[in-house]
Amino acid sequence: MFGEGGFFKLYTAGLAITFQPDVLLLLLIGTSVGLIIGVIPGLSATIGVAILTPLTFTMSTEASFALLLGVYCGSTYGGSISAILARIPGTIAAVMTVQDGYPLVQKGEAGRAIGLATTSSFIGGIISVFALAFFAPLIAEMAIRMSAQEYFAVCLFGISVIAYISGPSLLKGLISGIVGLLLATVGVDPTTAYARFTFGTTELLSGFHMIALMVGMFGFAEVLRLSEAKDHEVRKIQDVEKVLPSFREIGRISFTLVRGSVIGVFIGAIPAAGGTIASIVSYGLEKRISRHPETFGRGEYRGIAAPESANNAATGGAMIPMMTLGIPGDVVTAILIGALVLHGMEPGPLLFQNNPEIVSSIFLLMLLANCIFLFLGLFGAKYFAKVITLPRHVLVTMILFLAIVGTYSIQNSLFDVWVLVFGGIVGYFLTKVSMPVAPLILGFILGPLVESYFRQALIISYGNPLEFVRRPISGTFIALTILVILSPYLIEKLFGIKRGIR
Amino acid sequence: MSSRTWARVHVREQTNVEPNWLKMSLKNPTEVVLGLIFLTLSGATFLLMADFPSGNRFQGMGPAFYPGLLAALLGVLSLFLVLKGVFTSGGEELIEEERNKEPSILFGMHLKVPGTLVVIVCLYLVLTDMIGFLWITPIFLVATMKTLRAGWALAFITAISLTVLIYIIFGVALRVPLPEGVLTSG
Repeated sequence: MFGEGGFFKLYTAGLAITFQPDVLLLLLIGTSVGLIIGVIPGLSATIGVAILTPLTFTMSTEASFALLLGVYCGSTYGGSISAILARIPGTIAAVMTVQDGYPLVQKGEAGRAIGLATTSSFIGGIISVFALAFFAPLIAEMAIRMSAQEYFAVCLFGISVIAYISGPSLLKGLISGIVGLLLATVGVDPTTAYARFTFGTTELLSGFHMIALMVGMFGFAEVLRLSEAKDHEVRKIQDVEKVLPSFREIGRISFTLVRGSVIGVFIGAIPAAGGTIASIVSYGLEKRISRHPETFGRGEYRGIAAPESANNAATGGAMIPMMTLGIPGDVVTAILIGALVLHGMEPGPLLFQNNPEIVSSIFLLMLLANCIFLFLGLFGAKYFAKVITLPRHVLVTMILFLAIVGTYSIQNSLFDVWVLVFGGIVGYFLTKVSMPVAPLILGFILGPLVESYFRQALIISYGNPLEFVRRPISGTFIALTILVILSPYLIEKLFGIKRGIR
Repeated sequence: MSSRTWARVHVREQTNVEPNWLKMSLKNPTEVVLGLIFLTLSGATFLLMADFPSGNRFQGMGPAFYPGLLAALLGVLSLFLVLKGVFTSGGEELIEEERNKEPSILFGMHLKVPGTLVVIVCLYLVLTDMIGFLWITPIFLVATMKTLRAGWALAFITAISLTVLIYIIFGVALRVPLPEGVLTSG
């Protein structure tokens, strides 16, 4: 698959394009911006990557990913800073870090807490990049043998998992996913070139722009949600000194770091699971196997190391299914699929075959992003933390304006901004009525692929739907999809555990 | 506090049996409304597809097959949602933190600020094309900041700074042709 030189060629193909001044500068900017986004409660990697993606339209692919991966890795780590210093997780994935981070601050060890969180995030991130670099080519090698039926089944499985995991109501998640798939049918039918649901307008011939809808549903909707808050008061933060941890301190938590990283990589690789679940599972496991569980929640070092290593390890894990199968590991990687498509590439095994330099560049960029936030965190955390003190209305206005202009700049079209407004209103109301937005976006992103694979498979099998279950891989994924859909009822019947239902 | 609709049906028997009162209640009206909205979407999709040409198995079943399948699935699931809203109480099964939260409702004063922001953005899009980016953007930003309850000084400083910054980044550095409108075009 990778020709002469195999994996070595894959790993080195991206060296030349990655170590360019503009690419490295964008990586530094992206990681710094990501750190700031992560620090600010209410913002997340999702919003940051969604809003910045349109800006990358005129950049090269490696430059775009330098900016976006920097934001992804930086913001995943950045949430721990406000979690520790202000007792508010900057990102949801940092929710477990508050448990032991803030008690350490109360003991006067704010610097130590930041140092532990930074080092743990770095080690988790690095391990996940190596896991990505090792597993992704292997999975891509297997995936290249998959046919349209298998790809369709894998996409369906991805949508069902995100519907299951995105909220307490699986029914609402499935409806959301189907609406996303339906929205993706607007435009010219790829097989017959017939214009569907365009209402005679030329703008809708190419359908809704993926980036505009995403920025609307995540960015504008979030702005509307943040605007509801009456509290715009400036928050106060603790002073930070002596951040650099000693080797002895790192040695004490080394096994925790490895455990957390492995958990993070595996959970991150499950479509739609993400860093939050990884950090919760890692913290819970660490507490359970500890000889002194009563120390957790009172400033236990492992209580910071476990969730932080896991949530950053999940970033690399989430990239595995995204790059090899085109199935996002979390919402951010769903947006990164959009970024790849924006640059004329399709995620999946063909990415490894046709663009090995981009794949290799992604591995290197993630490695470097982790190194950059290690440096920024250890030496600059206290300065980045001051962002928490910015008034909320300034931040909200900046995000809104950037979202509008960024979306306009994709195709220099005000219609795309109207799509953003539409997506924002829909996303805002869906959140109000507890309908998850992530399955809708994933359904929309995967919609064209799902339809394409589905119809290709039907053409190949002369319209026989049984072909989907006859093939072992597609049959397995369809069975898994059915299992995911039935799982709440099965779990209730077998174990008596009821999911919270809204 | 969930709203309930009560319908009482009197049942009279011929003999001296006391009348039975049947109470019908919508356990979760939000889900009923949601389900009906998506059911309508499903129906509308079928209506819009009425003129689509039919296909065959060599064309992957034509342009209507796939959206039709999705609309049918949506219709079935929406029906489940409606029935769930009628017969299943959301209140009993809420997870603990949700019980303590103020229930999200579709109408109320908390929508005033988001609603105003939407109107401001829509007006901005209409006017920017007519008047031009450089003229209308500061006004839009001041209006946004004031809607978010910022002071006048902060609003003006933010508006001017952001307009200049965005113009330099997008208009100059990235060479994005920002709308000129009547006042800015030559």
